[in-house]
Amino acid sequence: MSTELQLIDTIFFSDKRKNLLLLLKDGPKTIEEIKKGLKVSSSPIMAQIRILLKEGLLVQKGDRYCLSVKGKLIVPKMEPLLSTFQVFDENHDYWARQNLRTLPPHLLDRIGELGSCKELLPERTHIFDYPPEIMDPLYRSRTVMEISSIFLPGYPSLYLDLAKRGIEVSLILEKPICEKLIFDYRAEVEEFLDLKNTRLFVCDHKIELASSIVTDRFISLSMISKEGRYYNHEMVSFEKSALVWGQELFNYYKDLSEQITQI
Amino acid sequence: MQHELIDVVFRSQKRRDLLLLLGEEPRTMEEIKILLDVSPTAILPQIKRLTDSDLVIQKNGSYELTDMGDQVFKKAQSLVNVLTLLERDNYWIEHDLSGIPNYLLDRVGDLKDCKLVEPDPSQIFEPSAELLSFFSSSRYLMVFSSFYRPEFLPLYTRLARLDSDVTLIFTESVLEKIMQNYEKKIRKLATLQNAELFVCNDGVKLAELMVSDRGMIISLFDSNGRFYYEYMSCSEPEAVNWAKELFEFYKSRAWQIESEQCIDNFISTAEREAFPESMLFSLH
Repeated sequence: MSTELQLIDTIFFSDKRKNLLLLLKDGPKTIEEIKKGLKVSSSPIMAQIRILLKEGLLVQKGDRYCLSVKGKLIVPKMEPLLSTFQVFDENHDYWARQNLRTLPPHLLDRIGELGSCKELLPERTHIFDYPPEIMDPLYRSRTVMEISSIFLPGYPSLYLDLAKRGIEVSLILEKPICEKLIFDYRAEVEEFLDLKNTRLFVCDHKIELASSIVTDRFISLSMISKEGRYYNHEMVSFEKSALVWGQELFNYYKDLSEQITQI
Repeated sequence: MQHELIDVVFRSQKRRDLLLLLGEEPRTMEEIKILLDVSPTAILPQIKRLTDSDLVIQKNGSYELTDMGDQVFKKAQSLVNVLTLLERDNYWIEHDLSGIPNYLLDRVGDLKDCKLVEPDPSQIFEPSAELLSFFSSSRYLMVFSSFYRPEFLPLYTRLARLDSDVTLIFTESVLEKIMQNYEKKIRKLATLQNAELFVCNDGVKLAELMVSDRGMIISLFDSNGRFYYEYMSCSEPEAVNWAKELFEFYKSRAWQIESEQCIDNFISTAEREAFPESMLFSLH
């Protein structure tokens, strides 16, 4: 049933070849453009180009190199694989511990789009607050969206403060959390809803994630482990593709929620 | 220190095969031994490597993928399918794939188990034994053809009379030629309860496509637009579903000949050798 697949060695086990294939995915390039794009000198990259030509993954057209038909069928499959592996490799133990099925399936399939992530933990003295590293980018954001199924005591004052500074704030809260918030912090919620740049949604469905913040500067995820345990942490990415991913995560839950305009 | 996943999955063919096997369903050691044709001493270290990397766990006496293992499996499978397809046969890179829309080209790995069928030269101009068996007693049959093959018409009619659903798409010039020579037959066929007839414009970059409950066959033009009497055939469900989707793609862009009236129109426009605007469609 198994085929040996020589091509795997060709495409994966040389970083130069791998990066060259990914570079040419965006279109034909001259040798000068390749050298510049990959920051390499001529002779080592020529050796790799020759190997890829011989394996039929590249073709030469004039003074440009481009992916062959074969290359065009293969390279689009490499990218999601490599980005997924990279996300897992960078924080292997974290992803191994979490229940990944708490993410919507279509976004789990694109987890590679999170790119380079870093796990941030709050300071011991401020265990219920966000880690200090995200407070600064949070206040510099133009829009802040939050999806949450947990209650942090800092929420009401923080989001009210962000909104008062003119930042567009949208919150999606799981129903019990939303009810608790309204019960315990009625005045703050009313003040929040009176502002023009705020939106509050209540989600009648289970939000399986602990929470997620999505802004125009970063995305952070806080997940629940396979054993159902939670500790205060934020897995943060500042990459562009991650922001798109986060926006879709927000939209996914928004579609399951009802907006509240008054209480 | 964790090893990089790329090494875990691709540095060893045994581990790669194991990951792909467990991606289908959880398996016991006994099943792994048989399906991968390996001894426990050869495979145990590889299983350990996969469990140490949090891709596989042992549960209730069998091995299964973790959530992370499942993601890694999906990405690896999609690449391995394409690599397998390309290493098994050069057919795909030697033929013109431009008649296949991008979303299906993206899943061309579903065709990895296709086998090349080259008809016996003495049989080239008649339905081959394989094709006949392909048609016989199918519950449904979908045919796209840019060839004039009148010898198949009685087969289609017979199938439709046997309560099988028969859907046919011909290019304009093929249908025109059938009308000229077999007008009565095609009229009968088009008006049968279980048969549907469609026409699409000439110049489509797909030679033939047939799907039935026996499997699928596809034939493409080569890169220079030439055609040889060979085709790729497969009966695996992934390939059959892929072929059905390709057929639906062409059907959605074709024009149905659903009544006697349509046939009359078709004949009269064909005689004027020009198609009214509404009958033209563009593939892309």
